Amino acid sequence: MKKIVTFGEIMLRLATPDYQRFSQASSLNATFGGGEANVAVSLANFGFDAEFLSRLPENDLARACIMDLHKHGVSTENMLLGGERIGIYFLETGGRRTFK
Amino acid sequence: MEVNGSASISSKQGAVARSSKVIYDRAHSSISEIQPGMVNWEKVFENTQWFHWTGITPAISQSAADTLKEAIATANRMGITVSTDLNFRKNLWKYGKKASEVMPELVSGCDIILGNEEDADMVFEIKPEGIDVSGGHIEATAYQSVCEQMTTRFPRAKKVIVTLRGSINASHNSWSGVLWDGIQLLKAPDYDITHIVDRVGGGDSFMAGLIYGLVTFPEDDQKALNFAVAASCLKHTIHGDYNLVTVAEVETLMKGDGSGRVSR
Repeated sequence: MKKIVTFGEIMLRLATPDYQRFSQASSLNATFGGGEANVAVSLANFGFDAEFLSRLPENDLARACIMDLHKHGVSTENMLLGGERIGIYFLETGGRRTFK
Repeated sequence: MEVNGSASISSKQGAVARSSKVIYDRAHSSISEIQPGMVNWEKVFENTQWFHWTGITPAISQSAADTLKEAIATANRMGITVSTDLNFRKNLWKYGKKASEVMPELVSGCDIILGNEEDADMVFEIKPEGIDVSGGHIEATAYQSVCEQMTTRFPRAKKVIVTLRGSINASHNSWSGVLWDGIQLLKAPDYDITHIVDRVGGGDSFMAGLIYGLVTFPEDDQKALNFAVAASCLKHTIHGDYNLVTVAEVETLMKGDGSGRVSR
């Protein structure tokens, strides 16, 4: 089957654990994500031939990101390498607690 | 998770809500400094059936928007299906142009458009009629006017899909979607997601499910839409951006098994 290509930005995601506030957290959970990469990963999980295209710096963090995409079955054969940095987003997960 | 749930969507007494927060640190990223001509799109699109982009990429920088324009034009020329998720992010448009200036030309090259009522309003000033988007119950049929306005403005688009998220609070959303094919409005079942683990990537998981569905069930848009909603429902139970579920797991939920019983 012909492949599906997505194009955009993938970032390092640093999320507070256990619904902690930024002001509480002493560690952050590191994963990767970004709208178009997320679509490619999901399609690969469905068995489709999916490729993600972006531009990432030539450093170990970007290499870890590419390895993560490969782990999830996404091709990065046309990934551009260059520039200075991979974007980051910080996430504080909100939630609801019910009390009686 | 309750399928076709009848649970109340009014706020529960004694519940307190705190919204999730995102802080971006993405200025001067490598992709924001991409330049037109860097990608050989003809080569990338060899053996390709579908190209997907979102409204985030043209928000990053002028050069990213220009590179995306090359991609869409090449995909159109090569007969590749193009889809977009409008994905309006107000805080990302910082390089001096508005989404309403940049997006129309890009969206005009799309065959499939996904968005929600806020995207359509903020990017194209297209508003639904007769609903209160601030919360509570959302009438799917009220979205038909949004879809019709979209296909009138962007005649290349064969299908417009709107995600329907009702936010009861940060942990409890209702979730569904509608698909407009230019003639009729299809509506997916309603899901009641009562204990959200992680909603980041929810819309992306919908888009992936939709692409899978439209490719796999080309004669059955209802099934494609239902697959998209069920897939993204499962995403809400998974930590991280990625929807790490299989086709079989989505189909199990589509068949109505939202029991959460241990599968052995």
